[in-house]
Amino acid sequence: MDPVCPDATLLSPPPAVAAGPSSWKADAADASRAAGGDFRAFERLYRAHVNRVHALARRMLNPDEAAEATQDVFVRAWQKIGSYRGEAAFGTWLHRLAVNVLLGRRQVLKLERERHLEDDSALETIPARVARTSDLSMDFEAALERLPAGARQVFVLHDVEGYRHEEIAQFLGVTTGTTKAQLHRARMLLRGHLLA
Amino acid sequence: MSLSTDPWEGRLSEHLDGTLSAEERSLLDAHLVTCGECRATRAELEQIVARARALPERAPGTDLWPGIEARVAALAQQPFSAIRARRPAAVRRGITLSWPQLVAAGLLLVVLSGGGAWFASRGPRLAGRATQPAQTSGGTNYAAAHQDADPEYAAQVADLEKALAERREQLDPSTVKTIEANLKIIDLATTQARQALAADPANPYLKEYLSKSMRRKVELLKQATEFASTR
Repeated sequence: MDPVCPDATLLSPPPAVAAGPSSWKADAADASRAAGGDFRAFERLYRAHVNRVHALARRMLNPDEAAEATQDVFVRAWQKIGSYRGEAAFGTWLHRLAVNVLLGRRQVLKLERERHLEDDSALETIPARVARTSDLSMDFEAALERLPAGARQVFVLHDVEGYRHEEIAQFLGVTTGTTKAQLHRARMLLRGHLLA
Repeated sequence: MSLSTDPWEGRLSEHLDGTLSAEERSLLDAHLVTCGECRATRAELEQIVARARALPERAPGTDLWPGIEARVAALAQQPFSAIRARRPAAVRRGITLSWPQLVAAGLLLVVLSGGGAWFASRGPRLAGRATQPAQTSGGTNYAAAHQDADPEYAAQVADLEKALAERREQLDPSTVKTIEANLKIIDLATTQARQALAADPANPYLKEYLSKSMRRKVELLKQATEFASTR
């Protein structure tokens, strides 16, 4: 017997560092392989989706925590990948898991409720009427980082990631009235930051 | 909620998102016709939303995969956790395992998962054998179990083992321990695959699994030897 037989696990080329948009079928196939223990397949999924997950972590937490939180997401994904059935795009499944992991980090720190119950004093820093200009020149990401955590999370989930209020309320364990109020608050704060 | 005294300002986001009731929307539409400030605010909020939706993905500053790989491997094998726990906290926050440990961890995971699938396919009779110690000579002579089966392979493994043994002192003891533990696991998988093939010689899955195990051993020995040579 030839001991050096074709071995898909060892001989497959390494994934591209900057993978393009991954297709549903390719991701589903890799997810299935990863669920069977194929590390290479899981690495391909990582390469395909890490930028989006990292961006989410950076925006929901902060730049210092983003790398470690992103690792947490993929470690959890490895643990849970057997539950992915291919009924939705892998990216959708991963993204939802990522949101839960990222929110969980805050829950562990027992900050979540306090930040959602914080008063509206931050809004007082916004001018009631600001000088109007169409030039939103301040870096949007930097402005995002200045938002209070509760408003920031709702804004990121709704306006950046496209979740509905009902979904966000479920993620956060609050009512849609709260998420709508936080979203408006975040938008108004950003408007103030960006136009100040 | 804001310093504005206009009661409609707080509803502009809902107007923008289309989540107002039909009645509320009609009332706010009418208000916007006459209120320039609310029109301007709504237009600015629209810009904020448009910019948010256009934000690009952001890659991490460094490749996070090695750390993820190490953490997943640590979940699968307690000794990796023990190694990690002994390392300084400052090191633990970054890539926590050395290069050969990462390689070995990855191989270990593949072997364990592949072995698990194989045992599952072979049923309880063979699964019971998995708990038996490997019938190898122990120590570093890992080729002993296979010399009779494939002389060419055994010679290749023996050469690599000899090279590794000569460089053993250049490696950290915990790295050596990890490599040896993984080699023993690969040997166990290989031995059991041979036993299963003896009972079912035509089984293509077993043939492939055996070849993979043998190749993994060669790869691990090569990588460990190359790493030791750079120390």
